[in-house]
Amino acid sequence: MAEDDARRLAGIEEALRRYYAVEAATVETDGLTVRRAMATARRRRRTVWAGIAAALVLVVVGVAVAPRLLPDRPVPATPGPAPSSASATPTPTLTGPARENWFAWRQAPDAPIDASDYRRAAAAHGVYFVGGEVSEVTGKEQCRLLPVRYVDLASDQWSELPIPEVPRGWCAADAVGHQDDLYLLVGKDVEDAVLAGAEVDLPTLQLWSYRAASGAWEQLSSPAAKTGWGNVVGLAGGFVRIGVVSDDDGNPLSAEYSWFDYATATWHEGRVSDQSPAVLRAADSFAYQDPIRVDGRSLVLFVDWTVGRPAGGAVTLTTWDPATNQRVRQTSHELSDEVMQNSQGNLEFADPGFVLVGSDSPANPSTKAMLVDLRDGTWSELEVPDRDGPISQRHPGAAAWATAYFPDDLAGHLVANGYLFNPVTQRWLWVPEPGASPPDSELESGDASVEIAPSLRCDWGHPPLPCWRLDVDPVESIAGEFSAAEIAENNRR
Amino acid sequence: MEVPVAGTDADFERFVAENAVALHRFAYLIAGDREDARDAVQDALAGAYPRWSRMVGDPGAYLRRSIVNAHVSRWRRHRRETPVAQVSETVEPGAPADRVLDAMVVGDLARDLPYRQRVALVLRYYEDRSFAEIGAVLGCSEGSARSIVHRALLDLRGRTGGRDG
Repeated sequence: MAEDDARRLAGIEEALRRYYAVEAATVETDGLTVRRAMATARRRRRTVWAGIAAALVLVVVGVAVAPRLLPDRPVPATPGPAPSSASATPTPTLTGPARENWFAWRQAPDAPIDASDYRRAAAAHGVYFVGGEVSEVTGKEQCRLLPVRYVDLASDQWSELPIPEVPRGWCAADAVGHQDDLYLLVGKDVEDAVLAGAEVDLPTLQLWSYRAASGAWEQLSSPAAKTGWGNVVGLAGGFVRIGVVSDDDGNPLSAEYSWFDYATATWHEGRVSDQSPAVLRAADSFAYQDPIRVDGRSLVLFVDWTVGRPAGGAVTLTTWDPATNQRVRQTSHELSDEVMQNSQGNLEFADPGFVLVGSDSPANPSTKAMLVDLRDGTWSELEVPDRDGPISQRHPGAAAWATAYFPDDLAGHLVANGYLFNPVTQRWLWVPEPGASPPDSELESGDASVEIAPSLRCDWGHPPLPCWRLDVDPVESIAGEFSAAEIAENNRR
Repeated sequence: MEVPVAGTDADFERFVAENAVALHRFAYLIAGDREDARDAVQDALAGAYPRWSRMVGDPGAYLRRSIVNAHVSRWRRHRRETPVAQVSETVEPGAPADRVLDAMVVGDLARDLPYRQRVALVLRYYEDRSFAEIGAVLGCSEGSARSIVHRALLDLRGRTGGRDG
């Protein structure tokens, strides 16, 4: 049976390769020209004013016509009140980097990573790397397991952990960091079935924990091994695996879960309390990878997109607490075609429960985003800076690195079009981007360096990997502030 | 921080000249419609051009992600309207008839997979991308990309029943 399953999967892979090769060969590039792309880009700039005029006309017409159209469309949630802009204490105006050399790269100890396939688990004071070296043997990928590596981010020093003598599903087993410890879910798993041709559902999953304080591995109780399981999502109190049981046609029937509770070191398994189509679809497409905090609770967020006809669509956001198996909230919102086109895969989350939909898509620049407050399901429209406006000419939006580098200082900030927005204070910030690190500056396009942590970057290649550490002035001395009025002015141009 | 790419018009033109065919084919395989695919690539290039001087990272991955993000609506509208006969009008030269039939059946069924699964399969089995690269395009982790591909294969196995054997 196992050989038959593996043979069928290999047959499907081969069929897909042939199908795609044949289909792709039928495509010509007629009509696809660089001149046309450049001309289109220039024309877009010229049509901004025409677009504003047209938008004004549409607004006027829409006010008159909308009441007749609304009954045929999904009903969006009621826009909520704008988040409070009151701040208990006045905050100083920020003006950008206080000095020219506000960042510096310095050489760090080499990284002994030689894994070609790995997972990274962030712990309290460092990062674990779990992986191995993939090679192809007689047409099949195989994995040579390597020791787990750990880098202490205070000293940038690397160490090697003893490796438990257990089978792993693949080079990179599921790994989760919690405090200073590492949890490793190993054994034959569904991924092995694809890549190594093994049985899909052999009950050999094992959970191991590496305790940093004692430097010892400990085997914990095992979860049930089932088919169709996704990745581990680490939350504050434990981690969860979510799987979908499908019918013979691949349609999702039910979402199940295994929750490991750090406090009790036990597994809890069952069906997800919310079996709505939105949750099933989100679970089936793994649209739940990012944990989110809502009012201090660490939750799973299922995101389900529904594409509208002929345009637009809707997004359904469902928060779920695997510790209690309770759905916390489900909220659905209609999306304009502009936001729909811009928002796929571009959600931003921030404490205490904000989601920004439609933050950015460089191919379809937008100045509109939807801000959802998951605490009560209300939403409001947010005007975000146009990347081609005067603000971006003075201060290009490049703040994505900053929320990772300053996770505490910038907690509660969303990244919107490369700028920082705090929904609670309504404050907009710009943060410059540090120059390229030494390995980046030497790389040709297409090569790669790897970000070990926001402050540590290594040149990817043969070990040991040369690494550089990034030191940055405090965020309050490098951030600049601008107002919503400036955004409106920026976007009118 | 990613490596900046050179940002002149000449660089942009050279990049397009070297990558237009690949981008168009990638877009076609996820869109299923040549015209839509061409428009998607054109839109992605038009969006990338003004930002070329500021673009960071691999522009190929950037453009593929743009195509994937921008094209979801069009693809969803078309995917159930594409005639089966259009799935493969060209057969692989010299391939045995049963193998070509298998590819047509599997390829046709792959058109009905969820969007992210479909994109992941194209990246994996047409472009031979690593799971890390697939994750970069889909905006998910390497492990998630691996899971998405695996799940798609399991779905196809279920949908093909005994036909693939």
